[in-house]
Amino acid sequence: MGYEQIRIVLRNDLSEIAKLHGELENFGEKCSLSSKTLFELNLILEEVLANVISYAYGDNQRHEIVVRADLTDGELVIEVEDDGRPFNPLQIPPPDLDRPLEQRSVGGLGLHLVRELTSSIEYTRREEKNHLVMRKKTEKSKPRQRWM
Amino acid sequence: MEIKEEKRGKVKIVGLRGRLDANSSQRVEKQLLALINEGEDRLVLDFSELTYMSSLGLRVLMMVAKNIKKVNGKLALAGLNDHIYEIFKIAQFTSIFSIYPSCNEAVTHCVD
Repeated sequence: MGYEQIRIVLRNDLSEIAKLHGELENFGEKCSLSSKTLFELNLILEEVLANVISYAYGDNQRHEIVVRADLTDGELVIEVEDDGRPFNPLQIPPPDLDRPLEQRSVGGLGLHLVRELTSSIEYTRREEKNHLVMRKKTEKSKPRQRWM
Repeated sequence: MEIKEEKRGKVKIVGLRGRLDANSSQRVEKQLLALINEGEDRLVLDFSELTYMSSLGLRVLMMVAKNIKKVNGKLALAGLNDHIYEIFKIAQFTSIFSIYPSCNEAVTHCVD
């Protein structure tokens, strides 16, 4: 089975999200990802990165965030590494989605989407960095119909 | 992100083209909330040319819905693609928004 990999280095600036989407577009094409998988990969990474860029740094300095994605045997392994303050997204409780409009919070959906769109999430803090590893099954192309 | 506005009777139709994400959500939020402030209380958001939406886009929609509710207005969404609809289901937005396949049906909802 094929193996493809991408590594993207982004600055801690929300405008970098556009660069991310462009790079993922190329990666998706190379790996023949379905449009659904590519959409979800974009979304997962945007949610994680928007969180890191908006909340991980309080020093107004320039930082680098490293994104890797590997596709092996139909499974995507997505990694994000940042040198921001420690943040374990697994400790954030899920949002309450059953409330009526008036009582629903306007935010807090990003991590919920990431949890729902991945099969596993691992968090480690080492060498002053946050490491997030997410796994996601990609859609297999449909088998050809045969006339019996 | 391109934002198109059209008025049909009492209904304001806003068409979004491109990606509603970290780069565009603030601008879209500002423009939509300004419309409500100016008195537009029957709003159709036409997503038939919207290709992508992240949670920042969902946040904008929640803000718009809450503001429309405050003025007893009406809001309907039209033309969501399959991927965006899937995100709506995960966020349970399908139970709080009126969603129609076409812009015309969404306009009818806002007129009634």
